[in-house]
Amino acid sequence: MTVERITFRKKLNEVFYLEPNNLGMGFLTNFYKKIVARFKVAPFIIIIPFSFIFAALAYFLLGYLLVGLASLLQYGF
Amino acid sequence: MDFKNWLIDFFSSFLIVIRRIILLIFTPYKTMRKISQEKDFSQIIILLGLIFVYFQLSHYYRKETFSGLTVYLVFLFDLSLTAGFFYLMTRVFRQRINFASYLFCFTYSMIPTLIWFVSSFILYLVLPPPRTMSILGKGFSIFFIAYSLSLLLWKAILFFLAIRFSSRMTFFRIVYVFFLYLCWFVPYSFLLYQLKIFRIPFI
Repeated sequence: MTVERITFRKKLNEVFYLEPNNLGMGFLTNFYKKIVARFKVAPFIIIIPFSFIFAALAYFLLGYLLVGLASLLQYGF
Repeated sequence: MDFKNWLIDFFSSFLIVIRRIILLIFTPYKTMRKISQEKDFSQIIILLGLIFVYFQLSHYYRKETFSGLTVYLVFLFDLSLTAGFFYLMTRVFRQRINFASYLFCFTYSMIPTLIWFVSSFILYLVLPPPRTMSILGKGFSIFFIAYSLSLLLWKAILFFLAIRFSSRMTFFRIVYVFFLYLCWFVPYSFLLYQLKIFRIPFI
């Protein structure tokens, strides 16, 4: 068996390793696939900005409660 | 000669673990798929060894009644319970499944948890709480919350992929089984909190 065939077979096994997700409705499945595709490679490109925006918004909404939460989490190790 | 071979095997497994940790940051999907097909158990031993070292170190500063070893054993029980629960739940839908795949996936999904606990421990030593309402205190709080949230989201991705690749269940089944998991895991974590074993569940 040639190297190309082995690589191709390996790739096929990877593709068919999992049954594709079907959420029942076409638009829901497409939406799910679009979201998941962003998290498959380098998810931190989305995660880090989102976390900082979320934390800053939480600070503006909660104020000192967020500072209290940070202290509480620091005791949690 | 045997010891030499064992040492070489151990270091090669250690390098694979380091490589996989880095790859889980950049390509979590692909890497978790490879992890689910893994058969080298020394990788699990290395990861559990790193967690053991963390528990031993943190014990000196936690000033808790339970020893580092006891807390570590409780963690091992938690991990086996989690892997066992998802294994049994999958048995309802599928018959041919491999328990080792669950062990590998769930152990590797502990990496964000370990990173968060180690960094919190270091930050506890460098910048001990409580945080103040000064500009630096507020700034650090925002940073720490954002940092914790990032790791939590990474953990959520890895946990989802761990269930997906080990059980090969579809999205809705994973969500359903995950809610069933929370039904017993939340009260169980509260019990561990009351017993002063974990303030934040190590999972």
